[in-house]
Amino acid sequence: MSNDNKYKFSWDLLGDIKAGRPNLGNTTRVEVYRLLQFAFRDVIEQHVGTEETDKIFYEAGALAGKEFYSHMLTPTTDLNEFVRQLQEVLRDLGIGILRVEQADMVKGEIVLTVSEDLDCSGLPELDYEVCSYDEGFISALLESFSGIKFTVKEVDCWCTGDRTCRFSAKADA
Amino acid sequence: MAQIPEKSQELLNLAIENLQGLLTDRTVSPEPPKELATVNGFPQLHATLLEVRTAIMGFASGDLGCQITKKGFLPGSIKALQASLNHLTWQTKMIASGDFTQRVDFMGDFSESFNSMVTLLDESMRKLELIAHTDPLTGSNNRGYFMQLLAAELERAKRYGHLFTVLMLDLDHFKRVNDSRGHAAGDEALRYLCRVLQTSGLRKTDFFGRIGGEEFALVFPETGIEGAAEAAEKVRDNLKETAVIHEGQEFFITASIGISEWRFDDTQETLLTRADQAMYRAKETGRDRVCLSR
Repeated sequence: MSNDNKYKFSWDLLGDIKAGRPNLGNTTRVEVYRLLQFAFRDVIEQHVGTEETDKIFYEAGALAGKEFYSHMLTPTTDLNEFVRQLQEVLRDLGIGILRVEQADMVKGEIVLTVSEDLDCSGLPELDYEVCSYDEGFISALLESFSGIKFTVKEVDCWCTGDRTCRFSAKADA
Repeated sequence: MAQIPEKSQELLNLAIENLQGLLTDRTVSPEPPKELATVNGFPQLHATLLEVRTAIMGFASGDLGCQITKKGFLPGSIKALQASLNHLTWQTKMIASGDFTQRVDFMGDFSESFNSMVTLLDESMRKLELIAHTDPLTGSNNRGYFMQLLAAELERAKRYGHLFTVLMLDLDHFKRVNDSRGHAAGDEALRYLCRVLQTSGLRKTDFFGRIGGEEFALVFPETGIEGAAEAAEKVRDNLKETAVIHEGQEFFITASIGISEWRFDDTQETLLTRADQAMYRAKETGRDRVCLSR
């Protein structure tokens, strides 16, 4: 798709919230975010099918992750520093509590968990993982940090009965 | 109350006994009793409890690597514990590699103790580093640490092509001070020199260290030889203008200074040697002066 699409993302589109919401401020409820996301998911799935929907959410997450890295994190080459910054900002913004289980940048393998996840924690059990947006988001964060493309798969999810979402990231060969 | 058929009662008893065994027995069969193998849902329940049991036993013996494939609240809770313990392991590895920013916030009282331990480790490491890097007499960088800083500056200069200068400073007639006024007065003279260096307008990026007895080296990043000479003259003037006071007695000291400017093929040794040679020229030509290595 060409880059001159009508809805091309730009960080500026997030707007001047201070000016625009002097009374309501810069927060809303998690339900509102989920209402938007799951309504999108439903309608998109009806149009393009489940597989394509997951792909769209993954890619949207990746776009968001790339922009998030460049606007919310200070570039670093140190893994510890990257994780520390990310933990802090994800917690501050109420996105989730990030923890690293394993990280081997030489092998390109990382396992991390996100508790109290904005997307899924507290959802009913559904027998399938729902965090495809998070998968893309994490893949782009890792790629922005390391310069290496990662594929991220959610292996445990609140929706499959787990208390924390676990993601396995592998560098593309 | 409705009567349970005898056959069903037997199966129920067997099921209870089997599940009880999964909770209490030291060893259990990996398969459910054959009588229950066809009871709807029982083999799955048996397999789930067996997996949870195996995982908990693994945790109890320190094995955090077991795979938990079953879904649901109980396996999920065990996986949450596994994730926390794995994260704790990762954090401990990071601390061992020198990252003292790690803090635990998910293990109750343990978190508080762990975090206190990391804070204490951090403070201890800082103290040890300070001791390892500092000359105990003057509080300035010691030779070893100065050479580390110089090596880093050389690397930086080579990478970015930025020039810098090195000064060698040696107190004049220091032996005379020691011989005539005693070593304590000599020590005070060295401390006085460091105070002068610190108050002579050095920038945050400039650094110095005690190289030998009364010999100090300074580095001025991003500074050519003319700028360094100006700074050196200021140090020299400040040094001789104020008296050293020791046990109520005043005396004055001067210094000879040699300066060399970084060249691309320089090593620490060549750079310091040129500054040293310039400093000896300053000594030979009357002391209390600055000489440049061109």
